[in-house]
Amino acid sequence: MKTIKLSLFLGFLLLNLNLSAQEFQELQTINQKSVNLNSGLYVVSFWATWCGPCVKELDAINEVYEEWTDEVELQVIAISIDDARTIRRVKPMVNGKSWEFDIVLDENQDLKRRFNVINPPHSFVIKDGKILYESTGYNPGDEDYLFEQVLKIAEQ
Amino acid sequence: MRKTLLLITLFGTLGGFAQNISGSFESNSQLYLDDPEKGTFAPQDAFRSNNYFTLQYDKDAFAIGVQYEAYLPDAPLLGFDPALSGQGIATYFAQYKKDRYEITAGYFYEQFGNGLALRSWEDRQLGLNNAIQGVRVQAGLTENLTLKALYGKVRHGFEMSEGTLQAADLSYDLSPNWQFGGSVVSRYIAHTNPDENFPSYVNIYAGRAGWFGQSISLEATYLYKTPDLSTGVIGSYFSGSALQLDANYSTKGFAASASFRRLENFGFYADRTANQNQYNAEVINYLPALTKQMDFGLQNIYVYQAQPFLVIPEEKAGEIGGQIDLFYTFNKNSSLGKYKTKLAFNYSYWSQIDAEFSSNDYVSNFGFGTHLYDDLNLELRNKWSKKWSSIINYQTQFYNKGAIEGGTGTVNTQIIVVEATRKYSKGKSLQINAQHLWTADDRGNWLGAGAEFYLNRNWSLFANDLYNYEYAANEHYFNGGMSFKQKGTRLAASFGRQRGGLMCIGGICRFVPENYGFSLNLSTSF
Repeated sequence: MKTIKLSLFLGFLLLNLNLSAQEFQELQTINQKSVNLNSGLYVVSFWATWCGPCVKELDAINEVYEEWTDEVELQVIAISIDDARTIRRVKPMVNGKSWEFDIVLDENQDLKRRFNVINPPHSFVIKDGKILYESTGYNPGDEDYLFEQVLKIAEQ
Repeated sequence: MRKTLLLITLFGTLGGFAQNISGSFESNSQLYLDDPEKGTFAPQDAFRSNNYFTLQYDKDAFAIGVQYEAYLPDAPLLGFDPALSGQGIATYFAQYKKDRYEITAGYFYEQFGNGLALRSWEDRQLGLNNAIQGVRVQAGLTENLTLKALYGKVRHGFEMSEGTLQAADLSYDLSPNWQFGGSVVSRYIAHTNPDENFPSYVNIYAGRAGWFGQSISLEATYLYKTPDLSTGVIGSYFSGSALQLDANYSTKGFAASASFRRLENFGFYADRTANQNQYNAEVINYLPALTKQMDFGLQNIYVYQAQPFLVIPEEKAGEIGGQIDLFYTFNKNSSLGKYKTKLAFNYSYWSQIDAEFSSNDYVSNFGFGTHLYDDLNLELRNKWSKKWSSIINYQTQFYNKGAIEGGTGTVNTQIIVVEATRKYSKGKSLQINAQHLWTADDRGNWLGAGAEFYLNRNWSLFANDLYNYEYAANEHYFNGGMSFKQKGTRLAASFGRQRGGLMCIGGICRFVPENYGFSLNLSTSF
C-alpha cells in the first residue's frame, strides 16, 4: 500500500511539474538595477567565469543580442555562480568582453539551488514568472534554438 | 471506497501543492576495471554510484526542502570522503521569508563576507557539503543594516561535527559607494584536558570595508583567529590572521583587477581531529587558491592549492601572494577587432610567509618566504568568420612540488593550447584542440589532443588523450564518450583512464587515484 501511495504521489508530482509557478524574488544586478522576473520576458542564464562553455554561450548571445532585442521585448540576465575565488573576475570579464546584458551575482549559490541548477551553463526562458523552457549545457549554435523558443513563447 | 475518496482528496490537494514543487536528480556512477597495461586493479566494489535527489516546495513566504543522498552499493566513488557511505536524508530545511526578515531551521548554507571567516556550501564533484544544521536568522534592521545570526553543527557525511558554531555578521551600506561589515564566528568543543589554557572556544573576528565606484572598486578584509592547538606541538596554542586586499578597474572593452592575500595559521575546522584532512570535511571557512582556473587537461597537472596551515615541524606558517587579471577587447574597427579579438592575461605569485622556527614555537614576519608558485597566462580568443573561431593559450609556471605536496623537487613548465571550432549548419559543429607541456622536471613533456563533435543540439561525441611521452611508452590517459542533452536533462557516458592527482574545483582540491573504466552521469531538474 505504501508503495502504491508513494508511486501515485510521485506520478502526480510528475504530471504537475510543468505547471510549476513560483513567485521569484527580486534580483539585483551589478549595476544596481532591480529585476522582477514575475513580469516580462527573460532569458536567465547561469554561468561562471571558469566555465568554458558558459563563456562561449554568453559570447555568442552577446553577438546577436541587438538582433534579439530588436525583434522582441526581452531581457537577458546572466547569473554568475562564481564564488569568493573568482567573483572579482566577473565585472572585469563582463566589461572586458563588452557584454551588453545584465549580470547578477549568486556568490553562495542560493539562486542556483532555488532554480535547481546542477551544472552551468543552464538557461531558462521565463515569461511573467513562469519557466517555459530550459536547457542545460552548450553546443555551438544552441543560441539560435534558444531564440526560436523565445519567439514561440513571446507569441503565446 | 472511503479510502479511494480519501486518496483523491489527498492527491487533489497535493496536486495544488505540486504547482510549487521543484527539484533535481543527479547520478554519477563508475564501473572500475583492472588496468592490465598499468598494472592497477579495480577496488573490491567495482561499481560505485553517487546519487542526489532534491525536492523543494514553495508557497508564498514559506519554503521547505529535502536532499536525499545515496552512495551505492555502500561506498562513494574513489577519492571521495569515506564518511559518505550508505544512504539517507542528508539535509532538510524549512524557511520563512517576509520583507527584510528570514528564518531557516534545519540545514542551511551561508557565507560571511568573502568566506574567509565562514562559508558553508555544497560541491558534489568534490564530495564537499558542510551545510550547517541549526537555526539561521537574517534581519534587515534598516534599509542599510543587515544582521545575520546562526547556531548549529556542521554536517560530516550523514553525521554532525563535535564542534558547535555560533556566528553573527553585520553589514552596513553607508552610501551606494561605501560598504562595511564585521563578523564573529565562534566554535565550541568541550575538552577534558587538564591544561587550564586549553581552548574550548576558538573564535574568528573579521572586519571589512569596500568602496565601489562606477569603474573602480577597492576592498579590504582583516581577520584574527584566537589561539588554537597546532599539529606537532603540545602545550602551546597559536593564533592566526588573514588579510585580503582587492582592487578593480573596468570600462567597456578594458578591465583590470588585482588581489593580495596573506594567510597565517588560518585553517578552521568543526572538529579538532579534522585539521588539514584531505577531503576538506568539516571546514568552516573558505580558503581557495587565488590563481586562474584552467580549462584544459595539461594546464591542470600542476595546480596550486592555498597553503594556510601552521605546521611547525615542517617550518610552514602560511602563504602570501596575489594575482593580476587583465581583459581587453579590441575595438570593432581596428584590424584585430574585425576578428573579434579578445585578450585575457593573468599573473599570480605565491610564497610561504617569512618566519623563523624553533622546535615548538615560531616568529613570523610580514614578507615573502620560500617561493611556492607562479604562473603567467595569456589567452587570445578570435572569431574569424561565422564558421571559424579559435582560442590560443600560452602559459608558463613554476611549481614548488616539494613544498606543496611534500618531498622534494620543483617544476618549471611551458604550456601551449590551441582550440579551433568549425560551425556547420543546423547545430552541427566540430571542436578540436592540441596541447603541449614542456618541462625538464618531474615526469617530462606531455602531449595532448582532443576532439568534440556536436551532431546537433542534443548529441555530441568526444575523445581525448593526454600522453606523457617522456615518462613511459604507454603513459596514455585517453577518454572517449558521448553526451545527450535535452531541456533540463543531461546524460553522459564515457570510457577511459583517468590521471591520478589533484582534482580541483573552485580552488579547492581533492586527490583522485588513477583509475580506469566506464562512467555514467545523469542530471535532470524540474
